[in-house]
Amino acid sequence: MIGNDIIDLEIPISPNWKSPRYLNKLFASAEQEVIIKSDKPTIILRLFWSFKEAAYKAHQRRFNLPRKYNPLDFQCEIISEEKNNIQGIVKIKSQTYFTLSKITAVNIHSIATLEKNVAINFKIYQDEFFLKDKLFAEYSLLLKESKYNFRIKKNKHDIPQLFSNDLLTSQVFSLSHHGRFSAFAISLMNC
Amino acid sequence: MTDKTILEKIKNIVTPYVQRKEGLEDFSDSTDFISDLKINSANLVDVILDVEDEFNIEIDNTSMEGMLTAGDAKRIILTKMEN
Repeated sequence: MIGNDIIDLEIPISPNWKSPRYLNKLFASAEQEVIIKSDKPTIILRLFWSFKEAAYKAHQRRFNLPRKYNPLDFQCEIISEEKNNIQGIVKIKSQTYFTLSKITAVNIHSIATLEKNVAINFKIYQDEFFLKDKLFAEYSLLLKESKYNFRIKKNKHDIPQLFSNDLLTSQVFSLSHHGRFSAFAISLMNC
Repeated sequence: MTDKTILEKIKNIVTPYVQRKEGLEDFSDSTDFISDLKINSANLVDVILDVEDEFNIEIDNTSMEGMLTAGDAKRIILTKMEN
């Protein structure tokens, strides 16, 4: 299972971000400490948010859960930082997800997976209004099918699913949009 | 406060965060903050803080989990205002 999340750094962070009321609704005290003590707190705050969002998507898809706004249930930790590549883990109840993130001057992108080191294909686009077309083109190459065969429909929990010739496939993917950027991630295990 | 007034106040609170303005045209109980109004999930917490200030209530984490539509928000506000 995978989830991904893109954050456009040009979109300003909430003006409330320093207030305990804001932080207490999104982050556990251990996470808040990492954010506040960092030399770039607004970046780390958004990095943690993208960890949670990516893990939420992976978790929701895995168990086909109804939508919920429960950021505090997802607890993030940075495991390693090498330049701007960050590995982390996110825990929800007894489940653990692994995250891989990249911070650039303009965006933050995170992918969460259930297993470590799984084969994933992901792409990030700027000013791309047809992300689904890009995803279909990618699946067309991977599955050797015409891209016109593909459709995305959302299930009752709003989880997007890939259909080929109107038949539900078992493909695992995740879409994300924010500001100027959009991104998809595909698990290559089923391709 | 009537249901209609509460809904109107919720609409005013969410408006600055809405990315899909057409979604505001038929604003009702079933209006979904994320799928209809395209409010970014990171901004939902700002909506919640504004709701707390406007109605002078505290929205606990369990209530926050279920705040996905304007109707959910209205029900939570009504329950909290009774207490």
